[in-house]
Amino acid sequence: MSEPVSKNAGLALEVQALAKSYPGVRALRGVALALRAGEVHMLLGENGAGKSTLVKVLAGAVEPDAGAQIRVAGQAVTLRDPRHARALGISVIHQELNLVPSLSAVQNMFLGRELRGRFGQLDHRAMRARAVGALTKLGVVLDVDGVVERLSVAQQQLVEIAAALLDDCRVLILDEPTSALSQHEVERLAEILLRLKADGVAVLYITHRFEEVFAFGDRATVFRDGEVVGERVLRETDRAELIRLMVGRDVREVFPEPARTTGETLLRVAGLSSEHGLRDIAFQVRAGEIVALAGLMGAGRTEVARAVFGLDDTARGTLHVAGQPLRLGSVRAAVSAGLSLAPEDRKAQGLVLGLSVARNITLAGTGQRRGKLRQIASGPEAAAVSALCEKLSIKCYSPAQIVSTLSGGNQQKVVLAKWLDTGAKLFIFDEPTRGVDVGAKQEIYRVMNELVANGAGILMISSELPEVLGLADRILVMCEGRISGELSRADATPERVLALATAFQQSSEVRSA
Amino acid sequence: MKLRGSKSTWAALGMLLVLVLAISVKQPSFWIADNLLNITRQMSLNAIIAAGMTLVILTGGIDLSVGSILALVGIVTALALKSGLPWMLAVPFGALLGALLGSVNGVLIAFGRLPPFVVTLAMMAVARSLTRVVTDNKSIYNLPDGLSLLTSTLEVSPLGLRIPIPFLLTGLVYGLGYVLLMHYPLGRYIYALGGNEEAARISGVPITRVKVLVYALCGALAGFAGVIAISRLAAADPTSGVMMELDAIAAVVIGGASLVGGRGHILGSIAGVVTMAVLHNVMTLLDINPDWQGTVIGVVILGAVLANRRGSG
Repeated sequence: MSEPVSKNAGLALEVQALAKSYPGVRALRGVALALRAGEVHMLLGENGAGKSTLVKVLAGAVEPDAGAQIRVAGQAVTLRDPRHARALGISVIHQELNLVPSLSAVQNMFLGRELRGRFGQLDHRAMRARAVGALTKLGVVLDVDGVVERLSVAQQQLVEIAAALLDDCRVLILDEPTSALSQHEVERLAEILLRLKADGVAVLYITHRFEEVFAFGDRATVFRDGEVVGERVLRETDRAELIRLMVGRDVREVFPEPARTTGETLLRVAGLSSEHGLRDIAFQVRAGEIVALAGLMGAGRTEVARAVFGLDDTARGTLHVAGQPLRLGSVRAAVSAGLSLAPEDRKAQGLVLGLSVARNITLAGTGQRRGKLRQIASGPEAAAVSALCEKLSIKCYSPAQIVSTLSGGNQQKVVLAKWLDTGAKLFIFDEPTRGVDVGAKQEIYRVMNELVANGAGILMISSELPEVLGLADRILVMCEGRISGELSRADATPERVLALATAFQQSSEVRSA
Repeated sequence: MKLRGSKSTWAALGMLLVLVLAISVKQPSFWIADNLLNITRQMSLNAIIAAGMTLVILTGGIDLSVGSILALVGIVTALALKSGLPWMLAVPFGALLGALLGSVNGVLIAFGRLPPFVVTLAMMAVARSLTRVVTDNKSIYNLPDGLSLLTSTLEVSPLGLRIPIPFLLTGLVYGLGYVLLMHYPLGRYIYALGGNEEAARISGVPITRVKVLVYALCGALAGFAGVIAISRLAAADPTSGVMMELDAIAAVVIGGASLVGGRGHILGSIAGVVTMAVLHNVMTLLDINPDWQGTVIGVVILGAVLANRRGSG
């Protein structure tokens, strides 16, 4: 085509009239998007709004419907496949990193495009030099020769970004890049973004975290139901407006004010230590209250949950559930004592994705409804399942629906239903609203409040400070495997939580300085 | 849920139907009662082993030792019979011995956290070698007459029906297997374990117990098959059961189970077993060089897996 160069030649990527239909679903409609060289462009929208379909199209993994126009640096292109997209300068860093754990950083960066010598042999020296060069450009020093599984998640992510730069990357798409990073690592990523901007790379950044939207972004495009509902310069807008665009209505991000009366002590933990870094943890959770474990990534919050729930063989200490001592290191003992865990990684740990809603709900409690021959009593079981689906308003067309096809919020409710089915009294929620959209978050908060209103106790772990401050009656702040302080609902402010979360870090820095 | 992941079961059944129709036209002798009885007799060993293999594969494991367990149990049972074990106890004796060998697999896999492939490969070598050592590579003959009842034919005189006992036993195994998988918690746990072991563990599923039980059951069924094998031959042969693990795995895969675990159905496995048995029989009737059978089975396996993948996306 001899079409003249687009009038917007400064655009790194321009998309117009992009649509994508699947049988019965129009995932994207009339999408227009413009990424300028040297900007960080935020892509916002609830789960299911079409963000991931757009990313797949731009990555060359999904072919758009006819009529879409995509221009890279002003040139009209048709993205044939991911390799082609990469050759054109579009790279995607997925949330789940795409590295071979047992290969080195250099081997990963050149996987599938190894540099060859004169005889076709691998040119190790040249590859290593270019890999180190790309990392240096990002201001990163790491072990490029060791296997990448030994690197931290943040370092692995940097390896992927550096690999993208090897391709002369013009458009870098980051899909929830901070979901597994600590606060410190997020700050590091911010520096990297600045370097990329200075180099004229256009960054398309997908996130659910508003702090990052305003801290890192220049502009934002908001998706809803497969359409672009607005583009904003971030300096000229605020969180409330963006949420309004995303949801299409005013969602007050207000947490229901609890009127709670606490009862007996459901969980008492004392002297809990483990080889996974826990040191002398002690706390209690009473019936009718939500206790939050706050702290930075790596402070040991998830480790506490795992130790209490019997998933850590190295844990030492004493546990009492409703006054009865509980043996450490046995999930089954924990479950029969009335504990439950909604784990951090719902898909990997919370659900059997290939099984139905009903099978997942009854997984933990299936043994309690038996017939004469000790067989599963199918009638009572079906009744229990539909009662739970109704109680938690799980949206599925039938309990036989495969659970992987539900939305994140509904999947979380299935995990919860599973524990309600066992009659659990103490619920441990590890990041209960991760990957859940704004509307479903409200529902999960409502359910949590109902649980404590009915006499359950909740131990909650969350990286989202507003959630911690809005839901918890008491906040235990952790730092480096210890509880560094406790705040009541009335006393808690973001500043105080952060101060406690870094309490030991600062002192150790002072010591080492 | 009940017949989920069974696209290739239907594919296998469809193929079977076509095959049977074709043979009916070309070689009506297929339908002669003797031939049909022959098929059911020949497939019973593979069927019983494949039932146990189905459980193992549903958990995401594999059991390569079933052929060797079949041989070792056959030999040991034969020796026990010759030294006075009443023939009526041959089946419980063999099944128990098989369960014991299988639970060694299970304990090493569940508690030792060793890969099932490696553990059962080792058991396959050890059990086969013990079989050879014990017998000095010679068959054992002159087993008690009563034993042959296991592989005799039941005559239902008023109807003129003749039903081979192994056929009934196979039906019993699959009936019990179906009930176990669909109506007992153990069945739920087997699917959950194969679908997502970590999620099953966090849900309080007794992972180690389920694993040991599943390998023990698989071993017990291999042992049961071992007793049927010596009954049929009226002798215990130290070379029996060679490659039988692969036939069982093939039947389970043709029946639509996924080797990753969590997907498949025991009724699919029996469809796989029947398909393989009819294929063998038809090729024999059509006088096709038996050397071609492996090629045909191989193509059928690939076809079944492809059909399954298309079905489940």
